[in-house]
Amino acid sequence: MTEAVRSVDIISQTEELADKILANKQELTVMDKRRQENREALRVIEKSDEPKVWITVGSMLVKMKRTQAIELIKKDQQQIEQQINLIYSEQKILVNKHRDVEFKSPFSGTNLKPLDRKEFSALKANLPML
Amino acid sequence: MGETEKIEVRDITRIERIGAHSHIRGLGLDDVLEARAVSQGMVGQKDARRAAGVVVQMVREGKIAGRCILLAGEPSTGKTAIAVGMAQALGTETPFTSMSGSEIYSLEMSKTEALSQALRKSIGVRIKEETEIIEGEVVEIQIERPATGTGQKVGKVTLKTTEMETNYDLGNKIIECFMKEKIQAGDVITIDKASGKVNKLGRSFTRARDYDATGAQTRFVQCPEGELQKRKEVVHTVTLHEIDVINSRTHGFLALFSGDTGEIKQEVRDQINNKVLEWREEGKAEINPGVLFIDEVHMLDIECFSFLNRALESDMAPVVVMATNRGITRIRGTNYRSPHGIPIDLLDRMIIIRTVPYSEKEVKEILKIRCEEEDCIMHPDALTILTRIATDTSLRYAIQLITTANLVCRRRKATEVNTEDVKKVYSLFLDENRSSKILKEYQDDYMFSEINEHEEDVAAAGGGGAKRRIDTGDGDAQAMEH
Repeated sequence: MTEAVRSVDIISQTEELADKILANKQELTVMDKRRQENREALRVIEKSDEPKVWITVGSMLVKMKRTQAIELIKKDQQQIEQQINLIYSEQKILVNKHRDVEFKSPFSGTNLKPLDRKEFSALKANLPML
Repeated sequence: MGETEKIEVRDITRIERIGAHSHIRGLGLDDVLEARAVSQGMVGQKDARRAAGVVVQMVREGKIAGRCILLAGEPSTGKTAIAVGMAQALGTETPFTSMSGSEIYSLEMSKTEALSQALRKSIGVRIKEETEIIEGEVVEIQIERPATGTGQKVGKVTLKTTEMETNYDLGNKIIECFMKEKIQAGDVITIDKASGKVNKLGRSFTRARDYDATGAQTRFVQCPEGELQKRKEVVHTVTLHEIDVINSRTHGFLALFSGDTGEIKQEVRDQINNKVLEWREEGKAEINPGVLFIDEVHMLDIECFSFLNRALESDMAPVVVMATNRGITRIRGTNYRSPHGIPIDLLDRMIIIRTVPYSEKEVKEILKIRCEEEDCIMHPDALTILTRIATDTSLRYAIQLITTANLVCRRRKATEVNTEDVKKVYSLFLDENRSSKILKEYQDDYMFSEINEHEEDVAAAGGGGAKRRIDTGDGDAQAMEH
């Protein structure tokens, strides 16, 4: 009896975590879409010369001053970057938790900080197997 | 929940040469570190395997850096097999260096240098590389060249994944990269955001029908999924030895392959240690001490042992597993005798695991496993005879007979080895006992036979440096060799 209950418990836990992980993945795609759209918008605005530009805020089209529009988009970009970083770190924790519930050892090196680009390229230049 | 049979699945995609220990896939322990009778290629020897399992667990948790373990036992009791099992059980993440005691004697480098290199080869450093990359399939590329021929090119590329699409304005430099890689619509590419490098992964499957003939090198890959701009994190493990080598010569990495590293200065090593410790402080690296396995450790001499004593006390030392089959024997480089040929102060720091000779049932199991490994079908009667031979002579001799009997049986166009084949190869190939008996009988006919001077030498000998005695044929009956 307890074995069946236990297995249902484990399965529900893994499914819950897996669900969250997949939801995060979708979230990342949505965030990236917004990020790219913002970037394209920024390019177009910076190239054009008009004093007032049309931008979409939510589902509304608003005409505002060029500088204001640029400010708005840049702020939005910053927020998106922060959100994405948050999701990445959350993902790492969730995946390790998931592996833990499945009685697998966690991924090694998840709590390492990355090496500087210069340091790593120096290593890579000398150890081509890296 | 009923009893389920554990089916062990072998990875059949790897083609390996068959060696003396290639049938070993692990230590064969279950979840509570109890040894199963026959599992993963290991048979019997339960206590030693359990002890080895405990060691593997401790290495995994990183808790016993700088400790020393000795596997001691009669010849053919599975010492090297247990070490191979430990290596498999630790997996590919932990560095496992295997060497024989005599390997440190080389003309090119001193013994302590060889030992230092072996020790540093067993310490891994985990580092992480993080990059932001843009990965997508090219929908279209537009490049505008200025009419005058000089001046900057400008361009636009549209990239897509299965879920989104966007376009990028390209500058001159990256347009050159694109043109160098000959990127067209339908190619799947990655752009490294930080370095600006463009890499072509292949062509998209959806565009496979564009042309009737494509080049020989064309690879087809799936259109990438998810977001366009991803963060890629890769964790690498390098050994301290590799870092030493690239820092001690200009064309360092070639030396890694040829083994011609020469002597690496201690200053270089100290600098590397400092750098790695600095990285560890900053959280950029993890030190992963692995296992150094020294087989036939009685071949090391007193200088090496003293060096090991000191080296094992450093905080970045690996776990050293040693194996020997010697009893109380002279330490190389001195005239003193000591258990296993290892000085007592080093023995004091070691945990000793004993391996015992196999029982007849276990020998039969081992022979069965080897028959499977060497692709030889044997009749049960033949197996029984072979087991008898193994217990009378030695396990290794019986293992040699397996493949030879297989060939004899194939010569008579049969598929199953039977007792006749085994008897045939038994008469063809001599084991150590019979060979020494023959030597004693016909010693006068052999060249340079020295057995007549044996009596004088025993009287004069003080232990080391005596004339070589021909083995008197009771090597197997003795507990351990001298």
